[in-house]
Amino acid sequence: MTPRSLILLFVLLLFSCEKDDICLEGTPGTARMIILFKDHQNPQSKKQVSDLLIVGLGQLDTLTTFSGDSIAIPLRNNFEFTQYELTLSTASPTFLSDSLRVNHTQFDTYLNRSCGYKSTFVFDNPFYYLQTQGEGWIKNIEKLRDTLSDEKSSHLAIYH
Amino acid sequence: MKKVHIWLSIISLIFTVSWVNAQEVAEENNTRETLKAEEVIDSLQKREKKPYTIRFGIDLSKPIMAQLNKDFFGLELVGDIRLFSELYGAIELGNEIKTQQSERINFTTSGSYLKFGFDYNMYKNWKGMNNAIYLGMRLCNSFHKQEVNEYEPYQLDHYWNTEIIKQGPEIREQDALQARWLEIIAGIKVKMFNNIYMGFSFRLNRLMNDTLPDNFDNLHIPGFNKKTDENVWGAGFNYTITYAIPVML
Repeated sequence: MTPRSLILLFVLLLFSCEKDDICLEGTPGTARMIILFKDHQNPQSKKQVSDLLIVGLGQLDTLTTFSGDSIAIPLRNNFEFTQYELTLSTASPTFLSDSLRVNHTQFDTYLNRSCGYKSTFVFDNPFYYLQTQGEGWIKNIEKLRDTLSDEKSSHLAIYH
Repeated sequence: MKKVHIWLSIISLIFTVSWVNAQEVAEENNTRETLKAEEVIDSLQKREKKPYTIRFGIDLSKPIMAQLNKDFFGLELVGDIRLFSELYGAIELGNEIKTQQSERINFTTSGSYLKFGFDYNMYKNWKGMNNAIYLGMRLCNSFHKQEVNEYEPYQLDHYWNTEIIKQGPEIREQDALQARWLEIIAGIKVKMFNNIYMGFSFRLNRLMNDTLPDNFDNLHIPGFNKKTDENVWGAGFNYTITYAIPVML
């Protein structure tokens, strides 16, 4: 072992890279809540909503304007509830708006060095409050799964 | 911070290496001159008794790093003893407290470690000198604890502001953790003056096993340093100043 080869070994090890520091894409993060829209007259069948405006309480930006029969919305970390204003635009000049408050607790699971922890939400009891002023469009809400551990199937059904 | 460590270690390495080189050149000239004289008394040459030195001291890099980084405290005591002609028994005893920000987690690791093993010197010394370029191995064990200070949960959606969690069930300290690993060492020890030696060693660590904290990982292990997710290898160095007590047997 000459001093020269020692230096070489040292320099080689200094510049070795690690992929450790990047959280790989596709790592499942904190799951969003998946809402399924259903027909209140015929509970078996899905019913689409059109131009549903979704805004978080206290947020200036809208989450999305949505048309379809199921949507994933993020829940609020480190808070006991998440509240959204769900406004359905109709042909009539009056807006049909509901304010949905979802109550939840959470637990966090360690993934790895780069991704850190992911949160898993669990519905609290009661799992929602419908704080609607005036006329709303939501007729009933049903809990489909207790734990929001993944985004593979719906967690909540809204009948309208 | 990392850059400072790297520069410190490079500078210290260059110093010690050039010292050893200088000695080697001087040695060549010297042997040529003394060759004739040696030949005459060759038949009378006796086996030289080497002193059984005991050396002890500290790792200088840790107090320096502690000065540069307020989130770090470290102390390492080192010692070695010559067992056979070129074989030394060696020991390192250390303590560390380190707070650091990983990608999304801020955590503090604190604890002690013990390393013991041997060094084998491969450098031919002048008579009476005791410098070394050596390879060595250590068996190491740490006793540490991990504390999560705060973390940011991994979220793909950023509609709501991402909250940094500062209290909750995961913000806690977990103790009674251990790790065991092997170190392969390459290093040098050079006599500076009287009985004071300086040394530098580079260490390649191989983790054998570690007790994991519940719902967390040993992202840093005292003595082992950074533990990566992909493999069981780590690296380290030390930069020592030691005092030698010569014991003639």
